[in-house]
Amino acid sequence: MTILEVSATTEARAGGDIAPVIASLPVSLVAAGPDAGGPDLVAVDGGPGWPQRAADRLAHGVRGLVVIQPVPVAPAEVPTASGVPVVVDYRFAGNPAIETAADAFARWPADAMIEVSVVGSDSADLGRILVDQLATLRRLGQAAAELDRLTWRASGYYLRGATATGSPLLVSAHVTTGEPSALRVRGLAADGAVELTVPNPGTARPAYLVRITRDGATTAPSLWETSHRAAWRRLHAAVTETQPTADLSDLRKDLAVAGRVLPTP
Amino acid sequence: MTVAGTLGVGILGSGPVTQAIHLPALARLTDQFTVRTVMDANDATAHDVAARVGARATTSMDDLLQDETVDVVAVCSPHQFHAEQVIAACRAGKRAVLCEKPFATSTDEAASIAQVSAQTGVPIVVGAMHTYDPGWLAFTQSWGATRGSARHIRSSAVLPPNPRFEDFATEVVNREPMSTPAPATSAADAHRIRDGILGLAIHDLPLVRAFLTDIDDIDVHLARPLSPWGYLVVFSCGDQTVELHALISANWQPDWSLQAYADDRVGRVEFTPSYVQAGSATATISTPSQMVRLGPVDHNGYVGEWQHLYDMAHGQPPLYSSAELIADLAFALNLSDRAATAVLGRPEPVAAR
Repeated sequence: MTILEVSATTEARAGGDIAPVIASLPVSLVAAGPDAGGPDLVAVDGGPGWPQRAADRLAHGVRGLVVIQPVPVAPAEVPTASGVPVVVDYRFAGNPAIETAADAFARWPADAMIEVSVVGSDSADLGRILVDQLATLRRLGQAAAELDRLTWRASGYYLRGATATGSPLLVSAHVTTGEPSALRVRGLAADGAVELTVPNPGTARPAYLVRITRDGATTAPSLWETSHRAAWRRLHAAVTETQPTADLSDLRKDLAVAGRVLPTP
Repeated sequence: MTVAGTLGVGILGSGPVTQAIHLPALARLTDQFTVRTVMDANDATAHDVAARVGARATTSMDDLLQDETVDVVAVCSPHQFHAEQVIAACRAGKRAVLCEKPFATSTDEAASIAQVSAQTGVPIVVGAMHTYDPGWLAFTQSWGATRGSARHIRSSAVLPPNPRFEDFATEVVNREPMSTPAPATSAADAHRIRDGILGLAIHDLPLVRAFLTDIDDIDVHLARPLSPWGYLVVFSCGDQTVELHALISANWQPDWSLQAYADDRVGRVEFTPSYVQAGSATATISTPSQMVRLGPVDHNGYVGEWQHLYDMAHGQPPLYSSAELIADLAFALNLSDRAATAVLGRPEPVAAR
């Protein structure tokens, strides 16, 4: 196993829980020391101005980059990675249960509805939440092809849309401190359903995935890994095994859809 | 078997709701009620259902209302007969009337019912069972004032077709075959939405309305039918937004719930399916520091509404006033009209594609 040095700004460390991630991957990652030369991997916070920060780090020859919870920007602002693996660390879309859930959504009927809702505590995060929801749908194999705004207020939003195959989408966010932040996906088909609940990555509490068919309900095995850790594992593999990542190009597509419904600043 | 001191029950309409809901509920309340007369337009159905409970069968409403052993009347007939039958039962001097929802097809009819109820002094219970569910009642007591307390309200009813539950509850006779859906046109879709709201969402619209402040200001953002039978409706009343969805399909697992999202708390009420006497709803109220769980208890809202009918027949005040019942109906009718209009008009939403 190749150990890679990690560097991050203060904001990125906090937003991505980087110290706990490094502690949980000690054979793969090590924090870059103060006197280290160029780190192998760099994390940039996804707050306003993130495309420039990411472009700067890519221009300085890093081997891999993590963008943590990006806020929406114009698709054209998303930097080009030029062969450097880049992983976007989403709070929900990066959860390792999403891959299993994608199997449950394979061959999803075109007339079967999919709901994606998020509970969040801060109305200032609504843009980030939307980007995360769109990334989740994409990773489930059900990317939003259409999206329209129904409501958008400080209390949250309601959006309607459709996947490329025509499945109706209802995308919502609810701002409350009443319960921990979480993402919930429910697919309702004529003869079955899929329910996925992804907790916030502040802990390694596992996602809950259940698939309901005519024969019964099957719960997927618990995966005690945060989306943050899963993102860094993926980046390590991409760098050491020279695997490409599509995170930035996928993000550009999702931002193009998000741009249709985001309120004008 | 007749228990001394019980109230005699007359039932107008003996379809699956009577067979699979009310008779099983009354079987749990034999110390309070005895079914005396069962009426149905179909003579065979009336006799079959009456025989189950040792009651008299008739095809005549007047015959049932003239029966002096009938103290209280349950109106379980098709919607269009509700107002006429409730009014007739009040004028016949019965002690109380239970009317299945919706208790009228217009607010004028509802006002007439309320007027006759007030004139005759005969109290009325509308069979919106979730409003009498002990889980909901415990939730409202713990939550406190509901009006204006939540920004987003979500009502979801994912259910198998009724016969799945009816067949667990009883052995239904003379069940009408399922109708074949009409081809998907705007008019047919509008009809489906209206039927969905007045047939299924109406169970929970009184609960939704309990949270809303500006119920006359309904702005429907989205209304569409879901396949094979269901609906998705999103609307706002002022700064509060409501999502209603329902799907009746081959999916065997029911999920019938109500959520309320407030700034600092989230409420959830999870109801048991109709028919199966599976006890009350379970409610939770989450705050930043704790989650309170309420229920379940062993009886559902149907038993609750019959118990309330018994109490009202013995002089207890109604849980919901006539004004509240009329407001619930007006809200449901207004919403169904606006949602159907939205389907017909297909208005474009706020954002451009």
